[in-house]
Amino acid sequence: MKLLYTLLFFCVSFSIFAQTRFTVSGYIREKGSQEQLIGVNVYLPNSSVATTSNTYGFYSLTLPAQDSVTLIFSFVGYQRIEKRIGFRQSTELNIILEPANQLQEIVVSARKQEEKVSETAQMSQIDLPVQQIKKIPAFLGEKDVLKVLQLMPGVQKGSEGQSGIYVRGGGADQNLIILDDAIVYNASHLFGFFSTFNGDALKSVELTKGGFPARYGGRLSSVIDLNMKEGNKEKLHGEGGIGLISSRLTLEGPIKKGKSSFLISARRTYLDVIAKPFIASQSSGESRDMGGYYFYDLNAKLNYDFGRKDKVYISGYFGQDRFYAESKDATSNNESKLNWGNSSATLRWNHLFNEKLFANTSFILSRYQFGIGSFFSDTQQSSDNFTLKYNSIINDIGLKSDFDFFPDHRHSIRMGIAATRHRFIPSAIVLRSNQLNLDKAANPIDVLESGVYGEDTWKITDKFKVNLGLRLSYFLAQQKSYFRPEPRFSAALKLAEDLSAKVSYAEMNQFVHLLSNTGIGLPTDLWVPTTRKVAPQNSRQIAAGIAKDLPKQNLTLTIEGYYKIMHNILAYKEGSTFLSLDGLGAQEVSWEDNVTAGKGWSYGGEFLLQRKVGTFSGWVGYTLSWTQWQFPELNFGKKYYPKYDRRHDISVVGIYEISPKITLSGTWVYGTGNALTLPVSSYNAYVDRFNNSRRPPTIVDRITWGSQRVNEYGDKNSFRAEAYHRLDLGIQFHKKLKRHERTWEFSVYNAYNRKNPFFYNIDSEVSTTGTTTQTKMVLKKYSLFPIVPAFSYNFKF
Amino acid sequence: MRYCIQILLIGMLTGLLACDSLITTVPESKLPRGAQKLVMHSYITPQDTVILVKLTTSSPLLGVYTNNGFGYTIVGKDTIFYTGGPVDNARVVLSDSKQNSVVIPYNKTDAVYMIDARRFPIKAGETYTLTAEATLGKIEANCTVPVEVAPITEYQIDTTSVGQGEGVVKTFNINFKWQDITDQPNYYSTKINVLATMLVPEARGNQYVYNPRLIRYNGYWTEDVAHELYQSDLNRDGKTIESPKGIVSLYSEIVRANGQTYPVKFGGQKSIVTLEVLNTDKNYYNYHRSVRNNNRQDDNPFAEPVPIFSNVKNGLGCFAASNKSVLKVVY
Repeated sequence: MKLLYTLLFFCVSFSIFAQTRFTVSGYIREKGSQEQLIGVNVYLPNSSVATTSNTYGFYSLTLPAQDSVTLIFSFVGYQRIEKRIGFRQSTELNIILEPANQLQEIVVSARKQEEKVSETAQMSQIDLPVQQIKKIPAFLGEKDVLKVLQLMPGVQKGSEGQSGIYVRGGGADQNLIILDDAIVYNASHLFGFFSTFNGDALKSVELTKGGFPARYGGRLSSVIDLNMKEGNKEKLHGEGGIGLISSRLTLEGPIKKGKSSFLISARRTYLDVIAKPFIASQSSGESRDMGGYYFYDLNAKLNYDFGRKDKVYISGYFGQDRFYAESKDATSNNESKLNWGNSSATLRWNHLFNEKLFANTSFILSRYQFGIGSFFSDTQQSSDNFTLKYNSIINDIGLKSDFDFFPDHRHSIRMGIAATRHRFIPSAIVLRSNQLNLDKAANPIDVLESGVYGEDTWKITDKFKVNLGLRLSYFLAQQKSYFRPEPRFSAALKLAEDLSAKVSYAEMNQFVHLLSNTGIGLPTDLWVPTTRKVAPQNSRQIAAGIAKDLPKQNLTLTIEGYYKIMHNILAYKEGSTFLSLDGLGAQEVSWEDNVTAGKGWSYGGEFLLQRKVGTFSGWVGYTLSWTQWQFPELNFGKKYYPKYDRRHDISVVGIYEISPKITLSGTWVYGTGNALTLPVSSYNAYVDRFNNSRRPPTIVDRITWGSQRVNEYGDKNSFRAEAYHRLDLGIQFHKKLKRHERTWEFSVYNAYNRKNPFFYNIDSEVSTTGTTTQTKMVLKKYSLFPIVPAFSYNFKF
Repeated sequence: MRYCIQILLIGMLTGLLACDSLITTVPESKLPRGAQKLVMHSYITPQDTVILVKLTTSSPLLGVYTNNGFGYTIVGKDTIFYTGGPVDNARVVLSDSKQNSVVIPYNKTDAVYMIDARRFPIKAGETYTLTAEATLGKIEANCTVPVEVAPITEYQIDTTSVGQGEGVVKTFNINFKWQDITDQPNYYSTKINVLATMLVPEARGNQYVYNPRLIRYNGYWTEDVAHELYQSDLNRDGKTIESPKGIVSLYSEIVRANGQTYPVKFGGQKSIVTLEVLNTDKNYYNYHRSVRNNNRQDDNPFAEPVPIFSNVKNGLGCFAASNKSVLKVVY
């Protein structure tokens, strides 16, 4: 903290001794909703002086004194504003931008659309336009932010339908997913088929794959930064939809006009409600079977504007998945439960120290909980009673302060400090039966994760821009501390108008790990901290590429190559599982003994041609990549391709607005098949005999030698699943009615009914001819989703 | 336009009904190639009185098996026939680094290749090569016998008797400790057996007479400790290492040569408990660990598949060596 203030002091004094300069600063909002706009371009015409508004809509530009300056504020989808102001003193200039197209309902645009990719020093970053998410066809009509991210180059999906994200050879747990500053641990519902984010409540989604700015830390592979809308400050608005499996509703409006507003957004699935009468009708007499599944999400946000200097935001997220089954008859009662969920709350305070220094302080609470319960009771034979409870919990309390400092138009400095206390309760087991009573009290592990960072986006010349940063990460667990400096660097050199070359380097450390031995997003995956035995994961990545804007066609083109090396990545040891209740001592095996650390390499190239606006928008992405792992304890120490190593990955996304009333959309994806391990043959494995000397001949004179049937797998992950490809199509019909606008949406998932592999299994087919029984062992491919049509009704008022 | 939404709705419902099966059989041309291989197992130590080699074959998983005992698989355009069971026609040769070698003959009764250890003594520190040549080809493996042994420094034996009268079963619970051999990576395994005097019924005319005989009972380890049967000295060089608790039960039944079981009774005299610490090579450790892991994960669809270690070139199985310290205790 001391270091931070010293740095700050130097920066401030530096600017004082320079020539006379004044500052123009203020907030940029949207007309009507008063929603603060992120990433609005503010620049002087015919010069390279420019800045953009930050996450809270604040901008600041310091220039030498002059009679007057002309400022241009521009943001895609909004009318451009040109302001001429006298510049003999520092000025506060708040701007209201009006949406350009009044025919369309007011939608908050994604950030930085106007900012040209060739202008920024940042690379490997993708902004996802939130309104595009709503137009892209989705599985069962459920719009999903993370699944749209999977359509970007460098970002891959795992198995069919899963919302897990694999960035540049990283794992699904190596993504820092933050919603309003709070970390989201398990971002999926329904075993990974849906993500926890409700698009209606989101203002912006940004994914960083490399060249990470120093303000982010704690995960190896990517940062997914999501910001919730604040809520309309002028009048009440609503938005919602009725779909095949869930319905959702968002309400936003002012509490005190112009001063404070709220937003509340909820979603719940209703498969269980629909199925209930069918299940009940099957039960008869005294026995009763019940079961069901649902999930819900609730996002809420409140904000209050205390004036120019101070603003306060409170936001919360609550989401739960619940699965339950119950069967009852005259003598016994059997119940099973499975539930998991995230909840988080963030209190944020914006403070403007002066026109050049903006600060945000956040207090964050986050909780992830996963539980299994199984109960059996027998009214006649109480010795059969059985209770099993398993719980895994993570509780986080965090505090963080970030400072944005704008000393002059060439520098934009960010500094901050963050500390989080994680409390892990990885596995609390309660088991009661007549044979065994086990009450393994949850042994909480408290750990401290903290970081201090500083970064400067520095325009060295008009053609050369860098972002220099350093993050110091500190982690303390079980009296063992890890201190890791993480240098960050990215630079852009302008080669020509609208063309720049970029390069970046970033080092990242990850102190919390997800143990997953399923490869799909099951809630049984266990989050664990770095400990005395388990070291933090580390990655170093270099990336280089070019960025080209084609303003006439509204196109942007980026081509990037990357090389990443990962240390201490974790995997389960061969044959281990997270919860082994077989054998009485099995629970004593702690997760630390079940994991093993290794090394990974990932490299490849990415191509993205994108058009964010216009009647025809969308993108084409292609990734060529290699990922290899090497663990001393896995695959006998030989290198291998992990499951999600993907040589080729293509995605094509198109959105065509035929008329204000009809929107057509389609996506096509192609990906190399997953690398899998399949048995090729089986044989008897003989272990050393415990009687290596001969037995007394009169009693047993045969040599007994024990064996068990085992499979030969060949090299690990040497079998490639069939390639994955799929076409989705969607059509939306919009209509403005008296009080609201409605949209009917029809979509088809997997339009040409491709049978994509979900998993493979060896199966036997038995046939009998006469006395000969023939067993044919065959490999079967199991697919999950055929062509799946869906429709939904959405409304806005 | 007016009916557009209705038409789409109906179209989608019919689309749903038109779906066919989601399970498809992968065509043979796209299957992973699994060829039949020779499988060889042999564990040698300087202390054993006999050298045994087990030779079998693997069977490709994907293929056709009939109840007539033959199978075939199609690889590309070829059909490969195979039969399972032991391989009896191979030439099995054990040789050392000094060009000495011995041909190990096949013993049909026990279905193993077997030779008296006195004909080819196994020496500590020596490297051995085992080859087997059969119709499926030639396979080869080598291993080096560890030089040192780790003597047992401490042991604990207790006994329990369960059951009543004639059916009483005496059980030994045994564990012991030894000092790790310093400044080298070591891998250990343990064995136990009890040589007990048992009363065996033998027919004399129309009557059965109980005669005392020495019978060797081998120890075993329960599932929850069996994974500790193979230990490495990683991170504990020179420290004391403890065996998992092993069990030897003097069962009241014994198998005779003709396969029949006979009831036996504990003779009441002192028994000889043999405790062994095997200082094994890495092949032994890797192979047995992988078989153990494979055993632990079976039927769990979510566990990672366990590859079984093999040091046999062109084949499967394991050829490994150990050097043991033996302690005999009268109890």
